[in-house]
Amino acid sequence: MSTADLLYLPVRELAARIRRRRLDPVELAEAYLERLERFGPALGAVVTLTRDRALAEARQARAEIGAGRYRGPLHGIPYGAKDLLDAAGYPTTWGAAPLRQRRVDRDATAIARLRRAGAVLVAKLATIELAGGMGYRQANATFTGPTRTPWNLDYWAGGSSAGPGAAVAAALVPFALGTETWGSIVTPAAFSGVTGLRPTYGRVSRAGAMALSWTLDKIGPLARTADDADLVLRAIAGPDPADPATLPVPYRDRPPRRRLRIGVLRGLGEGAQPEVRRNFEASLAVLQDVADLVFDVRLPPLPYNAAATLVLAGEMGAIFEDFVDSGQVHELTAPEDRIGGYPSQVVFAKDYLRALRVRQEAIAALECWFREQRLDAVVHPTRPTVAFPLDRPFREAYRDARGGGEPISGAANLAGLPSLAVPNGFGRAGLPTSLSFTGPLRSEATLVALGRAYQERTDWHRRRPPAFA
Amino acid sequence: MPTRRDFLRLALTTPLLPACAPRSTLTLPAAPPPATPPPPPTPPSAPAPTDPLTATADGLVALLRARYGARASDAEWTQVRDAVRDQLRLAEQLRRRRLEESTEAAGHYYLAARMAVEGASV
Repeated sequence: MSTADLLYLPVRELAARIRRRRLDPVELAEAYLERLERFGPALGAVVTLTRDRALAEARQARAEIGAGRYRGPLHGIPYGAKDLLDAAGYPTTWGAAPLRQRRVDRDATAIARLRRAGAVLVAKLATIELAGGMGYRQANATFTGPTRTPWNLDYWAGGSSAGPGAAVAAALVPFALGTETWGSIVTPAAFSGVTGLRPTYGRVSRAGAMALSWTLDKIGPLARTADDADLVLRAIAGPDPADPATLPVPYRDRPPRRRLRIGVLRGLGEGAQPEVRRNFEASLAVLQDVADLVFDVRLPPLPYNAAATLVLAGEMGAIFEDFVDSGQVHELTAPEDRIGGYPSQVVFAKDYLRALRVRQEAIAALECWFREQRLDAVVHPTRPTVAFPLDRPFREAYRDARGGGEPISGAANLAGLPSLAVPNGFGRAGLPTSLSFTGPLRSEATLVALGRAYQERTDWHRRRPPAFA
Repeated sequence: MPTRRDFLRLALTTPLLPACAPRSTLTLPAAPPPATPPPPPTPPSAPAPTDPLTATADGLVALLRARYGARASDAEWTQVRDAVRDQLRLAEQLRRRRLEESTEAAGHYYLAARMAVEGASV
């Protein structure tokens, strides 16, 4: 097996080799570090290599496993973290030029939990500045430069968890932690052709992570397979006194032992690129093998996007008030981000509160809707297009695709619903397309079961970007 | 100050989603438009009237400019004004919904606790 073959293996298979002592954690960490150094700059995927910490953690894993103290499937497995999660010993820049020197010498809870599971932090990975909260409209919106999808270097890796998407796709790491407020895990998963799992709101502690919106932010894995994403989620999920929004229950769920029912939302293919539609329809044919499909379902009609926008604006305005007030906002990379913080400074409290009340209604309506329709999940294209080109603003990326369909992303993020994105084919310019399962609150185990079943029947998740094969 | 345990206890003892409401209540009728007095007569030389959202956005941006004016160009403040107007438009969209009376406004802790309880009961 070549080194590249090894580094493209899923976590589950790397873990089996480590457990049987056929793979040394230190050599594995060194191999990924070498690949991060070699390919990271071309992809714009890396902010900081954490070499010293990585080798120390890998040596500790080697010693423990050698002594028979195997901690579990993440023991000795390298990973990267989006650079808005604090890690002791290294800067955490939030992708923002004025915060290049920002350093908090304490691990974020998610990082600490991975350390406890024996995982090895090898890199802090690129993020759109301030997780995209200032309204970026093109890919060059971080001081490390645009992150490129390994499938075609003229195109964007997606954001705001851009580095995690690109790094997993090019096997610079076997998995990475990303964050999502509204689309920031599933979009880079789609544009980079990897698997992304956005957990239920409150499933994973955000302590030590940059806050963009207290009631919308989630942390979740980007990985090679649904199975790997689940392994990571099980390690990082659970209550945390440092994040009062965490659910007071551990993640030990299992999927139902019956044939699942999946709704296909009406109109989601409309407005998508023809290749996206074609791949989505082919995916449905595969899914009919594993679940009952219910076509043409419609979400309860509520102003999801308006409410999510106002919740985000209200909270972001409070969180970044000092950043705007101090003028640091004008040191950001994207010109539109330098003024993007001002509108959030003038959100009326009554409008924010009304948005919260609409959210209350949306949560209840969506939970009831899944129950009444007897649906375990809905399935939809993750994005209506392939990745955006780097040389123009997003809105000018594709004139033949207008999105359309139900506002599932706004609805799901507003209500805190989990979603799993998996690659499902290729579109124009050799770029990947993606399929998502979105389910009711705390349905991650069901979504993972669907993703696993889909990936057992397809090989899109095993394809490698030719330039990085 | 209430603790996390207090919020959880509240969630556990309060039937927040007792049963799915009849579908008809999910699509609430839009509230009637607010009664507006007739506009005052406009003298022939007055400028064209500005729509209320734009006028409000102009006012809010004037506040921002009073505080941060020198930091951005006129063209950039125009962009900020447009973004503020979009924000107000979305708020107006929400204002058209008639919401049930409530004693609270979906707080942060409460939301998390409720999700946990709802999920645990399935």
